[in-house]
Amino acid sequence: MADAELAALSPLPSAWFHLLLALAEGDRHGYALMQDVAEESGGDVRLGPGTLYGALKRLLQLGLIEESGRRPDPELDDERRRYYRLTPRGRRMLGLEAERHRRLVDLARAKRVLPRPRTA
Amino acid sequence: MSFLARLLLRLYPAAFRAEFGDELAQVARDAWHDAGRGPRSWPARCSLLLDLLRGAMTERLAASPSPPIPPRQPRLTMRDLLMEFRYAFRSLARTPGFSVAVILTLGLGIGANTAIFSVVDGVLLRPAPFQAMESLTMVWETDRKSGTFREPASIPDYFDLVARTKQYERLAAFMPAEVNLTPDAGDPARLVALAVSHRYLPMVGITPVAGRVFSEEEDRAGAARVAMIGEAMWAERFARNNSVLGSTIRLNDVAHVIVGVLPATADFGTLQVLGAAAYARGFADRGGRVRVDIWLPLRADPATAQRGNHPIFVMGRLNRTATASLAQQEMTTIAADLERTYPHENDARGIHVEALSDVVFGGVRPALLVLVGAVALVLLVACANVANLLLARGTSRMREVTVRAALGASVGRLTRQFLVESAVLTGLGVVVGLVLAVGGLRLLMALAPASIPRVGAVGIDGRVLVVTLGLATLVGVVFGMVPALQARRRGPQLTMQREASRGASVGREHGRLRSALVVAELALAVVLMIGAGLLIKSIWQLSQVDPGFRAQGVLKAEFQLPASRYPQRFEEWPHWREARQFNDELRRRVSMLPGVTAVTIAGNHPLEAGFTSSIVVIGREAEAEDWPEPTVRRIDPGYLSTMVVPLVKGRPFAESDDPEATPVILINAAARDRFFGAQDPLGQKVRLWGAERIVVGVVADERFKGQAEAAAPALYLSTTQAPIAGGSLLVRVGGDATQLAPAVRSIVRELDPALPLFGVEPLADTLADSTGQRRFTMLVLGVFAAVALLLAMIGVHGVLSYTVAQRTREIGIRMALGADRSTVRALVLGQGARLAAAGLAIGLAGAMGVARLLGTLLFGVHPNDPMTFIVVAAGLGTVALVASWLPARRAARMEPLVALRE
Repeated sequence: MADAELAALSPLPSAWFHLLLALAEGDRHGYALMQDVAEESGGDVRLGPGTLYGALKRLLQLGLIEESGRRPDPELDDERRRYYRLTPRGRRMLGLEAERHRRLVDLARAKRVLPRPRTA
Repeated sequence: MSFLARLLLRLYPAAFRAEFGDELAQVARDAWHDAGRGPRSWPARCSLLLDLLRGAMTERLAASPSPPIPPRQPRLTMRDLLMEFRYAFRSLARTPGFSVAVILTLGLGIGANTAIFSVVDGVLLRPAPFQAMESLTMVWETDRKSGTFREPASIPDYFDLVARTKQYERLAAFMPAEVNLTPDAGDPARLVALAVSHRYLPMVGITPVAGRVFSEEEDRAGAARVAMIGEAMWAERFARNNSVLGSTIRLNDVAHVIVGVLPATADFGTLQVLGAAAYARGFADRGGRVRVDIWLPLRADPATAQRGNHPIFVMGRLNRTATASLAQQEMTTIAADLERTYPHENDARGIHVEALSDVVFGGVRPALLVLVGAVALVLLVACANVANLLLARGTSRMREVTVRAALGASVGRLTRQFLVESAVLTGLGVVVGLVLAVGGLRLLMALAPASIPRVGAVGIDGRVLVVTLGLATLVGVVFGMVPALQARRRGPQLTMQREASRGASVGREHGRLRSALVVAELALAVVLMIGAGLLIKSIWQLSQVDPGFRAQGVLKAEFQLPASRYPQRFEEWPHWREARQFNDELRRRVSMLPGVTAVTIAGNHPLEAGFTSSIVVIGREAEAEDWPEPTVRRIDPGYLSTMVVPLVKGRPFAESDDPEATPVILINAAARDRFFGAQDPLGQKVRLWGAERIVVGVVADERFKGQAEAAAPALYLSTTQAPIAGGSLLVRVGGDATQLAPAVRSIVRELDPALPLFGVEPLADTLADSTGQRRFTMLVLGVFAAVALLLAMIGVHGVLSYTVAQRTREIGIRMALGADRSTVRALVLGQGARLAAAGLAIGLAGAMGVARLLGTLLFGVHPNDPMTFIVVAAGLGTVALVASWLPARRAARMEPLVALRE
């Protein structure tokens, strides 16, 4: 799918963006995603189970994520848990979104809303 | 995970559940568990539930047959919304019966839940004012001989416990009291007081709102007199002014320096602890709700106090390492030691350690939890009813929806319309519910027995409102979705098709479920009605019981003469000149008031059990070992005639029975039967209070423990020989007893301006109060029965209306084939009758099992009283018939042609 199509999806809802970000590190199951998002956002974004699975369903439909066949450790694992991972398309989408955010941050710096980063 | 969360999961569309259901359930369970561990578990759990609800709604809307990404709706303006509301009101006003039924049902459900929740919240859920209540226990004394296990302690025992305990970080004691307050201006008053050891308040963790608590010095016998006052009294009498600290108040004619003010919550649990005790209950025996106004140091002196006297209540705070069972072991050991050291005073004595929260909440927790269950059931039933009503209406509105959809109303627009309608219904339901809750709560609080802790503090506050509104929103949104989902699931075309094919047996399973619900409602109503009916009959029976005295037309006023001005010295007894003069003068002046036919002064009024004392019949000393202690009642010679207590045998007291004459007593019939049997008691000598007294008469039994209880054996002493320094003035008047109160008060004021009168009320009111617990239970059951009946009625109506709407075509065919109107009417009524019969059968069977639970509350009526059962059955049958009548009439009035065309 072309990048133009992905661009049409932008800006992503922030819950989706956080979910893709959490998956960038590796495969996760639903509950871990919930916890990662809460942790990585410093508690700002809290996804309830309802919101989480609504978002996962949509991300699956859009082909941004897929079910992962791998399971980390069958000993620790619960059969019912499904793991999700980014698709290449999802990774591109995440890049596009991150890039968009970076441009926004640059803009904010240029307008002195944020301090410039110190160069070592 | 909670029931609610599981329920919400079921709201998701089937396709979604098939794909994600297990996972979602698993994650929701984990999240529910996590939320429970945090400090703010309830808000977290609520937001979890809301999240699930929102998710379900979103998925439902997305799962509709319309394209997956709906075209953007034009923005909703305020004007649109107003129009929606206007339309909703108009459409609801067109079907007033339906609207009223829904609003009333929701109102009852919400109101009952709000009222009961606020009671539970105020009584059980709110944190106790005491610090770390879980480590506080009562330390009761026990008596193996009488089998009592909640007795107050003796002062020397208490000091021994304090000296020897290692399991308790602290022990403290308190004692109930009542004092006469003589203010600088205004009438004197009788106030409730609590004498506490100086460790008590620091131990329970109550800090004064002003000033300080008692010092160790002030708690010693002979120390300078100090007092603390309660916050409410501080506000009423001193306008919350800090200058009250250091000032003096006169209590029992002695000046006390006020050192501090205690918060209103400081007397938490006192009434329940006292009420649980075997005796020495003090003001808890008044039966009403009381507020402690005065706090005094206990000033207990182990050197002078007798070990055989048990006036104080011991409470303790356990060490960090101690448990109640360790404390029990330790106390048992100490008690055994004390029993060995004091074989006479501490004979058969032990100690019983009991968690304070069990004493305070033990009696009321199960009852309240049953109530919560009952109101939750009411809400469930109400919801089922509303669902039935909405379904019935939804069916009959299919046409409207179809037409509007065909004319171009988008599905979103229709959904919005339904949501606005349900918001209006729910909103009005909430208003009705809150009105009912406020009214119901006020009634409940006015009648609630004083044994419920903190009952005075119960009210509808922010917390309760949040819960109510949350409940209402949940109910409203869920029901708002019912018609919307109905319409959405079908889509306009399908709706038209369905409309066309109506009459086929759609949703037979749903129909069966609805009928089952209605049968359950009816059964519940039957059980509650029978409970209420049995209690009504009990109270009627009770009112027929002769209390043994005539309470009608008697005014009661109590007083207690202070020893400072009315010396009550043991060595002068029975010559208490000042007290006797006061009593004689009071009697004389009151008897001259217009309308007064008789006056008497007694140590206890006829509904106060008073105290007991051991007796010996001369010549039968050995038998007395096993005798129960009879109640000792002191009356003046005019008592029997004033209270109309018949003399069975012998003579009444006379003025000539003075201290110089032979000591005499009267006994009641119960005492004659218990102590003398077939023997003639007249002329027998009884030793009581150090004198031999001759029995000169037998009087009929007075039911001084309340109408429901047979009289215990009692002895009567004449106040001419055994004087009293206070008690009850009883005045018989020709007319209304209440009207005499001001005149009696002013006579007392003239005689002694510093003497407070208390308990001034018609004796008939006192008598009625003795059945208070029964009346309260009857009221609660009665209200629940009425609510249940109303809901059952609406339920029957809803189900039958729905069926009639569903069967329109069938009925049309029947009529076209020759069925006449009465046949059709009988068809519908017959369905109603079947529901009622099933409900009645289950309800009556249930009531037979459950009525026994009312146990001691019943009086003179069998738990399976056939009369009550028949009346309730007939009543419910009638109500079911009435509820079936409207739908039956609607069915019978159908025009066959119209019905067929539908």
